[in-house]
Amino acid sequence: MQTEDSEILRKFADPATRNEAFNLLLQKYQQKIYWHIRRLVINHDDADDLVQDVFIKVWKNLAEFRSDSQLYTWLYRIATNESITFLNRQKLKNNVPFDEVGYDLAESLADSTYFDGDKAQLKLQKALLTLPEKQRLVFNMKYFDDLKYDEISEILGTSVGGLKASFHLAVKKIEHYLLNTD
Amino acid sequence: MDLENTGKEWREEAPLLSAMDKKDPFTVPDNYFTDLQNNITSRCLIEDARFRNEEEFTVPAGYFDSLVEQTEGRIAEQTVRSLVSSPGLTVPDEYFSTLHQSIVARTSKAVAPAEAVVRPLRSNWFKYAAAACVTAILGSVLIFSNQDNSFESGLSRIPDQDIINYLQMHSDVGDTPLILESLGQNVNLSDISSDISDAELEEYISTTL
Repeated sequence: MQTEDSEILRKFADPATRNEAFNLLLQKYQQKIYWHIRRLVINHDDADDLVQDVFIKVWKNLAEFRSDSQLYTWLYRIATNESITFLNRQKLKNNVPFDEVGYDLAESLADSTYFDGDKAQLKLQKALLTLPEKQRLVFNMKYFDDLKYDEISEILGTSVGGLKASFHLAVKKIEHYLLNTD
Repeated sequence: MDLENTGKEWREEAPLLSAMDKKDPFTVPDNYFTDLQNNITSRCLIEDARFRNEEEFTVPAGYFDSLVEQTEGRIAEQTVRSLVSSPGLTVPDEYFSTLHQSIVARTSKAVAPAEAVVRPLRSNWFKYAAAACVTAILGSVLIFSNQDNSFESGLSRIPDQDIINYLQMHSDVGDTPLILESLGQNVNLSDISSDISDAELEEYISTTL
């Protein structure tokens, strides 16, 4: 049974139980955050680095966390920002136009050791990589993480209506890709 | 598409997508998440320790201001070293193995007081004076030798018979030798002067002596 966020925060506030609280938080959220990052950056090693960076930031800043938002939306927000920063850095490093980064990631996907999907799933991933970054984010959080629009809105700072429209467009593009690509 | 019902409608409008398995196709290494928790915890402790050390340690004033230049200088130095590995200077064989002994030997010797160096009086004026003296001496020798030569050479041109005649004519040197001979004798002047008048004697003295 997982610990409530409030309990984690209470224990973290006490120096005597801070480490215990952090371990509880890791057990509860590390996999969700990892997969959220992994779906964005594709490569396992990159995702590994980023997820560690995210939780170190959480460790340093959790004491200042105000409960005006949910703990997990706060975690998702940190993870999203770290992933987008990483992807932008990759674009600059590889001198790739911002709209072509999906091509690079698709190449990495094909060569990845840690990809166990069938042909259809590979096709889906390639379809996702044709989407703009934010649209891909919205689709991932809605389709794979099954988050509510208001939760996604809290994470991305985008209105619920905008998120719905973004998701709608993403679905159409993916379906079109799946129908028209071998 | 009705955005309010997007959650249901999208499945109708995207049958291929909705039919697909939502399982993540990505995998992770075995025991990854167990190790991940340990890794994250360790890194957090390291970050804490580093943060504490950063508060305790200080750096000299102006350290970071000169750090860039120092780093660039070190890089340049490394670059030069990579291009020129050795300054090209060598030492004799076994030099360093005998160096210590040489130093000890030199330092253990009693240092003799330095002898006062008497600088001989040599100066430029002395040289000139010496040269002048030599010149004068040589000149004198030459002059005198020329004088003797001229007197002798002149005399050699006079015939011998003329010299003999001159000497016979002028051999009478007067009464001087007689007077000189008589100087040591006790001569009674009254015996000599009794036949000679005073006037004759005065005339004799003025013409002879």
